[in-house]
Amino acid sequence: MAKKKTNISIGFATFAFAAAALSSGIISLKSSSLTNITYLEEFSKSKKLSFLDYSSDEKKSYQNKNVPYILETSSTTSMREVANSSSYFGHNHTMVVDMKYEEFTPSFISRLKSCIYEKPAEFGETVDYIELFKSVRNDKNYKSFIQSLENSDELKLSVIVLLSFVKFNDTFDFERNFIVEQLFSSDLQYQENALITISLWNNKELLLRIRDAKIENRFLQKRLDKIIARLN
Amino acid sequence: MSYLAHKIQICNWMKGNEIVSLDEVKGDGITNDLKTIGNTISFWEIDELTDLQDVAVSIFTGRDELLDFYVVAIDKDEFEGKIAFKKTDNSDNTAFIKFKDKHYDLIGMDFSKLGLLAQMILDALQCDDNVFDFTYIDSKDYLKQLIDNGKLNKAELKKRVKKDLNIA
Repeated sequence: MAKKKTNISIGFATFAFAAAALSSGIISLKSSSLTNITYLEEFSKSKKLSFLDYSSDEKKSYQNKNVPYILETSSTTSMREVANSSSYFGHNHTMVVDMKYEEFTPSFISRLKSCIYEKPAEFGETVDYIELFKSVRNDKNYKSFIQSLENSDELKLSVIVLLSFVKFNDTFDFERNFIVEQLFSSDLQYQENALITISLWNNKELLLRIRDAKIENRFLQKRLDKIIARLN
Repeated sequence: MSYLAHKIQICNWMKGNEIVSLDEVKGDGITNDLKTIGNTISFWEIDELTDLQDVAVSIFTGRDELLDFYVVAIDKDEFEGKIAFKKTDNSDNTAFIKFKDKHYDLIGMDFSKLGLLAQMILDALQCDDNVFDFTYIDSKDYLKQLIDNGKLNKAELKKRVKKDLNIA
C-alpha cells in the first residue's frame, strides 16, 4: 500500500490538571493514516506556537507550503472524531488541535503507542512522546498528580503504561508505590499493565513490595510468580 | 495439527479468573486485540503448541517496543466455514527467519466475523496450553541465542530492541 504522508500538529495550549504549570508544547505527527502514525516529534520551545492563534495571513502562508488546508478544533473530542475518520487521511493536510492534558485517555495513549510502534517511521526517525512524559514528570505538581490518580481511571492506565518506558533507577518512589499498588487492586487491566511495567523495571528493590500480592487471575498470577522468581 | 496464533491482553477476555462471555468482552479486546487493517487481521501459523514461544518471539521482533504480552493459539480447523484466511507476505514484520512464510491474514472481517473470532479466542482460552506468556526480560537470553544461531536476523530487529540487547 502506497504511503501518503500526513502531518498532524497538536498544540498543547493548556494542561488542565492542577498543572497549568505542566509543560506544554506542540507535537508533530507524521502519518500515512491515523492508524499508521509514523512518528511524533516535540517541537522546540522556540517553535512553540498555537496555530489557533494564527492570523489569517499566517494561515495562508502556511497553506502555501504545500499544505492543502488546516483543520482547527479546540476540542479533544473533536480531535478523536477526526482522528477516527480515516477519510481525512487520504490527503495531505495539517490538523491543529488544542489538547488538554486531562484528555490523555487510555484509548488515545494506546492508539498513539500502538500506531507509533507498530508502524515505525522511516529509518532513523525517533519518537519523542516519552520525552514529553519526562517533562511532565519533572513538574512540581507531578507527585500530587500521581497521588490523585486513584480518582481518575482513564489517566491511571495511561500513566501505568507510560511508566514502563522509564528506567527503574529514574523513577520516583511514589511512582513505584503507585505501580505496585495496582497489583493489589481488583482490576485486571491495571494489574496486567502494572505487571508489564514491573517486569520491565526488573529491579530487586521491588521484590519486597510485590511478593505478597495475590492476583485472582491465574495467568497474571503466573506472570507475577515468574517475575518474583527472576528477582529472587 | 496447525494453529493460528495472535497477540492479546488477558484483561480484555477475563474477569477475575473467569473467561467472560462474548457479551462481556472488553471494547479494547475488539478494538485493540482484534484491530483490523483493511478488514484483515494478522495471525501467525504454528504446527504445534510447543511453537508458541517462538511465535511470540516472532511477533515481538516485529515491534519497536519492549513489551510483555500473551499469545493465544486457535486450531486452524476452527476457522473452516467461518472466517476465510490467506497466506500473506509479512516477512518485513518479523526477524525470525522460520516465521517469514508463516503469516496469515484473516480476510473479509466484518462485525459478525469479529464476533465469531472473539468467541474462538474465548474458547481457546479455556485451555491454558493454548496461551503463552511472553515476558521480554525472561526471553532476552533466548533472543540472543536465536541471534547467535542465525535464526533471528539481527539486522531486522527494531531499534529499541537492538539498543536494549546491545546489538550494533
